Amino acid sequence: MSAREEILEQISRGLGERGPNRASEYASIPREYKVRGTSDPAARVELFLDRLHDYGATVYRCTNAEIAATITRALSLRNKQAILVAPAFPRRNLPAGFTLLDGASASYSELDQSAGVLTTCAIAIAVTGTIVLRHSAEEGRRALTLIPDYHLCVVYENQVVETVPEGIRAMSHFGTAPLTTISGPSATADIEMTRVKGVHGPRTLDVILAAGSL
Amino acid sequence: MCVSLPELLITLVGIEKVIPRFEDLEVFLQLLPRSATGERMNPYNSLWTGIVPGDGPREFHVILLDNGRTHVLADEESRETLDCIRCGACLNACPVYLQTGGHAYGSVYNGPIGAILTPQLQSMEYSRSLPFASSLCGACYEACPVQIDIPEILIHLRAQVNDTGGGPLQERIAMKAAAFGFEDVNRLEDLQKLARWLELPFEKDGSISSLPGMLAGWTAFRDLKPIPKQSFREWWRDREKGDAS
Repeated sequence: MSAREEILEQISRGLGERGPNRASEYASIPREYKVRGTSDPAARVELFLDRLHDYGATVYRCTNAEIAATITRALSLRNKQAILVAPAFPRRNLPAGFTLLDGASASYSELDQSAGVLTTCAIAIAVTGTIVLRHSAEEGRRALTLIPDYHLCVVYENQVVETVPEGIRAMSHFGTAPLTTISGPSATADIEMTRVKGVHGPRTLDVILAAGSL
Repeated sequence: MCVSLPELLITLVGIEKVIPRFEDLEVFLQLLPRSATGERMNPYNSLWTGIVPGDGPREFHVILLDNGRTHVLADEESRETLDCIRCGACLNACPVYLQTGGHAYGSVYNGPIGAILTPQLQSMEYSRSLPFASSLCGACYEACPVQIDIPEILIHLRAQVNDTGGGPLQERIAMKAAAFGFEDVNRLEDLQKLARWLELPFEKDGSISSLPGMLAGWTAFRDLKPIPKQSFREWWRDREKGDAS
């Protein structure tokens, strides 16, 4: 008997007689938590902004046409001359006058030496201030947004959902893509309860919240 | 970062961690950060489905681990131990844990959940004292986001320890002797009289500060009151006779 068979047999022996209709048992699990958001779009975006500010992210708001100019502003304020760009980041939104590096070919050590990275995102969740990356070509592979110390992320207002369940249900359509959820710049508390930044990803997160859609 | 950058990723998964559907993450990703660190969401979550060419590990192995979990599952009274999401809320609430710290539990799982999980994962062969290291105050049950009835399971495990040999030999002898003494009121009164006589050499200024042998461990930290000269029953009998003091 293989270990797999042995474990499965012990599970069914441990659980004893099971009801015949597992699917309907699952469907009848009470889910009394808030699934659907109740805010109007403006309030939802305000909530998302509030959370980002709370996490210490810098947020810029602009229209779709102003994205390139806003990127210029954000990079200038951070004194950055060069930035890595996700391979399929929309060309029309790229700023002029900066050295734009190809994020697809950079090695880990080049990512580590870089000034930062510019990407879009897949969706965002307002109530937790979460940005979700599905690591498509617009967002780049995982290393691109984990290793650099600065992340400038463009989020469109229509990508923002309100609740975590709405976010998870949207993510369930992303197939087998790897996913990263970011709730504020990377931080963790060590055993002494000291908050340490930059443990899992960039220490600095700037967000450009653009009206309209991708 | 540590799961996304290396070329080889081996993930060890306890079988109780498997949830039915992707959508069920909406439950756990709301419960866990709120109960663990009081955050709305963990700052970073990484989710992956196998390998992705050109992104992250090139080789990925999952080891599904039973290691005593099906044994826990088979016990209906303590099965809910497996519902634990490892948030640590019970640790923060536990007055015993706050005094002893994690190392006292002798396992990676400490605090109230460790006191019920560790003995069960070790098939009650080791850590037999852990179910007793609790005042059963119930603070852990109140804090638990998945409502594991830890005090009830502690009592269940205490019964199992007793049914399978009980504590150390000295403790078992002491418990047997106590049961013998408390069984019969005349016997108890005779023992009280004997104890009043036996304690005389150790009594000083109305308290006992130093006892010999195993009992020295107790008096090293606290004084004992001597047994009163008159028990309540003796006082009652004298009162009935009409000469109560």
